[in-house]
Amino acid sequence: MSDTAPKTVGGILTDNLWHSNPIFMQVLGICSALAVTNLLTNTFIMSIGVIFTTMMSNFTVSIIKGLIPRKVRMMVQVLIIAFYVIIVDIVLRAYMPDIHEALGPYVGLIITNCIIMGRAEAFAQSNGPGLSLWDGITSASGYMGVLLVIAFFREILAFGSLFGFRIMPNWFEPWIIMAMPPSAFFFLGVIIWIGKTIMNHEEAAA
Amino acid sequence: MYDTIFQKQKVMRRVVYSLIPLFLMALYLYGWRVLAHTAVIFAAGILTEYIFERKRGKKVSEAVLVTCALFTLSLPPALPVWISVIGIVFAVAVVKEMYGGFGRNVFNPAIGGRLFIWIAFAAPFASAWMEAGGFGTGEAGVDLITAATPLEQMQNGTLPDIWNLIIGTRAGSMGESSILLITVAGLYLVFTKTAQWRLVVSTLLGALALSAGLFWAGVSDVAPHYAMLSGSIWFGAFYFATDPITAPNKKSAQWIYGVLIGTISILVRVFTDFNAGLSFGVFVANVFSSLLDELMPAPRKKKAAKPAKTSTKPKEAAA
Amino acid sequence: MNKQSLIYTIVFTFAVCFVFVAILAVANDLTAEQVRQNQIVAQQRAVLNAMGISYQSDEEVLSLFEDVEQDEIDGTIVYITEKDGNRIYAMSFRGSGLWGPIVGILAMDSSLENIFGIEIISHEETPGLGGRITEDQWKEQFRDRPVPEGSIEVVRGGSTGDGQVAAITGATGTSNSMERILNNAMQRFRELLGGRDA
Repeated sequence: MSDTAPKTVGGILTDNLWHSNPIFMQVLGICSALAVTNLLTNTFIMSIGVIFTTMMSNFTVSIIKGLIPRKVRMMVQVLIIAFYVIIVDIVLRAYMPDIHEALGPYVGLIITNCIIMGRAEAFAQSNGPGLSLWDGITSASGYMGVLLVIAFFREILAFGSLFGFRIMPNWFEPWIIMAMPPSAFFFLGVIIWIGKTIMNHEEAAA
Repeated sequence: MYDTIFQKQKVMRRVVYSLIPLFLMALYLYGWRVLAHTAVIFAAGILTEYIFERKRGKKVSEAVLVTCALFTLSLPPALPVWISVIGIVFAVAVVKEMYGGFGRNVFNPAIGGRLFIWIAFAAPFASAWMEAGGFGTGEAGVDLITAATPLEQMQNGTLPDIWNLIIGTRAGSMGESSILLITVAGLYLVFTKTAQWRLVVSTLLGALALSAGLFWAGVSDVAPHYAMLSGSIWFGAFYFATDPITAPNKKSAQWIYGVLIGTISILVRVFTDFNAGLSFGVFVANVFSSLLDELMPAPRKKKAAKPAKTSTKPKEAAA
Repeated sequence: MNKQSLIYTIVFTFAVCFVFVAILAVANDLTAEQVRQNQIVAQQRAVLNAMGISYQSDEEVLSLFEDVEQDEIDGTIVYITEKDGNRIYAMSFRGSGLWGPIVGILAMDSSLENIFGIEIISHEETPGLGGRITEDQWKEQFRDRPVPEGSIEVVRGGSTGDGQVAAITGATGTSNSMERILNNAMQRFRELLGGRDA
């Protein structure tokens, strides 16, 4: 994991996207993975929100880390994260009301996404602002990647469409269960399965 | 050839034999559709299990035949065949093999698969019921007629003929309708100690008690004897409640388990839009199965409840 | 200065909270007008949809809506417009669906014996099942649907006649809720407009 690996730009990238991918290796932030992945558009916007929040909170924590007293470290991190989440919420509500409506309470719930807090605590607390920013972008992108894969299968099966464009023929019978949150468990399980299998092969080969 | 693919399981065979009359009845009721579903479901089910078991270096269990047979019989006849393929692949791959294969599955595979496609394809399911009889051509010789099941009829206020319910000439899932044949086949299973009678009786009693209670309390319009004879309560009590893998082992746990299935089935049937009550009942009760075994005190006499059920269970061997 | 001291901790915490909350307050204030505008447009769009008036952009919604009369009767706002020589009344309705409240607009003609159209503003039904009440295919059933008995019935399958619309397959709960909600709304319509000349 990133604690022992050298903290290079490339190392952080491959770590966050693959070797310690927040979703399928660390199994973090899956609550939102279940909730928003029935449509690609929602997933995409939600992921952008998470990328923005993780990136900026990492950056901010890293800048002021020297000033934060140890006792209130966590509290300040939560405050910073909440700040950026509310910014996302305000922007969506003002300029993308339809998406805001569709995402409902889940934008506010970005704050409970363990990935963001985890990166602030595990990375930004002990690294410079530049690397922290990069770490935030990449780990949230790792999250986005997995979510988009899940959303791809769910939207195509549940609605026969991708990003809202119908691509399946008319006779296609939608799988209603795929529109419901629990179905994300099936795909999440399969993705973890595939990911672990590939990784085990890599380790065996190394 | 057969021996290289299958491991022999006497108990499972007896269940398959007992289902043969039900298949013949289904054939009379719904004609070629039964054959189509059976062929496709068995092929897909066995293939799926074969792929998984080959990885483990094991043979295909004969239990998969039971799963396929029960799954087939629990589907409505006019369901598109590709949906039943999705259902059986899900049943064997996800509900059974992903938990570790035969003997380790928490949920009954046939029930899991049935519920999955039932929820996923609610619309095709709703229009997949057929008028029964005459090898699937209906009385007027018309091929496909979407028919109301007895439960739907009763919701709309018409009472089905009770003899039709007992003999099985009514719309419903392919194998669930004939109370008479199910009872005969079920008794064969009970007397050969393939099925545990306690599970059958407790399931039926649970369902009877609650449906009678709701009827007398004025909550439900369906009289208890009609409630018992329609839907898949009867079929499920003999074939799904008694699944040795997913049912508990202790006597007292079995009583509670059966009552759970019966009552949940009726609750789902009366208070929700899904008419797959029995399936939900079995599915939910499956969750509590091992918990019940854990909570109930050990039987006083050593291994009193054992003979028929656990001898073929690799659960213990593997543990 | 000792960064672990109590005084520093309190001052720091206070300062951080103050700065971030101040920025949020400003951001909230700056967008408040836009948010209010969005809500108005959403409401107006729903009314226009229910009345069957088509539009291209948000600006057009606002200008078209200027032709819609608003009349407050008994605390309820009734929207009135003329279309092809007929007066059309619209009113918002609200009721409990299967999982949560369903809010929408119901438009009727002046005789109150024809539903002119409906529009759903918000709901919490199951996506893909009950959630299909927002699909045009379902809503269009209400367009010019006569309700001679003053109530609508949601029927399962088959063709539909006067006072009937088809239920959503697999979503009996939501369909029944819509039947109840719309019948209540029509009842309210009659209470509000009953004494008026058509």
